[in-house]
Amino acid sequence: MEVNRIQGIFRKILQGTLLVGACVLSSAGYAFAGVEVKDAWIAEPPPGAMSAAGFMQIHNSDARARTLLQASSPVCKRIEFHQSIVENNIARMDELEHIVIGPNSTFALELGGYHLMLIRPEALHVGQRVKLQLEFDGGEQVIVEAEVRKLLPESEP
Amino acid sequence: LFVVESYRAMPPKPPDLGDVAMVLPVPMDIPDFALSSQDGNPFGKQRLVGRWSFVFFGYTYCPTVCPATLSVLHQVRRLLGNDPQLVGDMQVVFISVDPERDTLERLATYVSYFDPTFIGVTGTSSELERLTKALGVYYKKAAQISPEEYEIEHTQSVMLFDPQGRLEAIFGNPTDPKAIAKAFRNLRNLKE
Repeated sequence: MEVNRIQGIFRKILQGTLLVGACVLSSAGYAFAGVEVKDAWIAEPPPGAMSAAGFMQIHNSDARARTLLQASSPVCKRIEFHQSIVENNIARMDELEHIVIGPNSTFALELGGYHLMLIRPEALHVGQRVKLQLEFDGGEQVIVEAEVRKLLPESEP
Repeated sequence: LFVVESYRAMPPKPPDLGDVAMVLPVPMDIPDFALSSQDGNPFGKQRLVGRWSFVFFGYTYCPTVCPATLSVLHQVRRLLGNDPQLVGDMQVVFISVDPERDTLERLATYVSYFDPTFIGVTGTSSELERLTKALGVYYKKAAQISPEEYEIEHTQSVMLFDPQGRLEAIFGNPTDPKAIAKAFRNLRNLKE
């Protein structure tokens, strides 16, 4: 039993090693072994902003939970995982250590909820494409390109 | 007779503008206050008189809520844009509760990024406290990373003042520009 478990872990490590750097750009998004990142975008930060919010959908088609351990980008000092919370009309932000994507499910990083927080970003403008490096458990990494967009699309009068 | 008396004592029923806005039964008068607008001019109660004012409290380093709300208010203006009478006497006022970091110059750059007509306002901590207390607006420093890096928890509501400078309605969750524009249009129709 124990031997099987250890063998299983070794197999996973081996799989992980083979997949490191093997991120595939599919038509729908960025994927590796059961994890797919779709529709990544960054809200254009106002001038002089200390942070910029990033959003995406992370789909895990694996039968086990996957963990997004950390994220980084050449356009900012560091990236944190945040959750916007509104209680009694009071807005606050909670920081998360990592993001767990359940088995066969999609974790949505979206406006008003979970998001990436790019700390001290350089000036970013609509249309720019920004590289984000995401590091998952097992040492797997994926690099996604996130488009800089207006926080809200302009509605027509 | 008692029933009749208590019926009379009940405040008039406020107009129902849907879930997006809470209209006060009676517009609330507020004490005068002494803040400054981005151009360096005094900004007190008098600056609310003669216009319908959307007032929102926040800070320019706010990661998501303030940019989202100011984007929503910009869209409200756009949605009302074809009605010069409605847009002509409305103003959007962003009051920073972070005077330590938000200089008037910084505020000016920040608000005009969202809409060139928006007015950025701030002032001393004591004046901000006085005004926010009167309006039931909450704010508190949180998540202090360094003396210059911190976040502020704050009330996200947008407050609507009537042309007498009285609090008329509160948009508790100001995320839907269409609903806000519609409520504002309805309220104006009811009042005029």
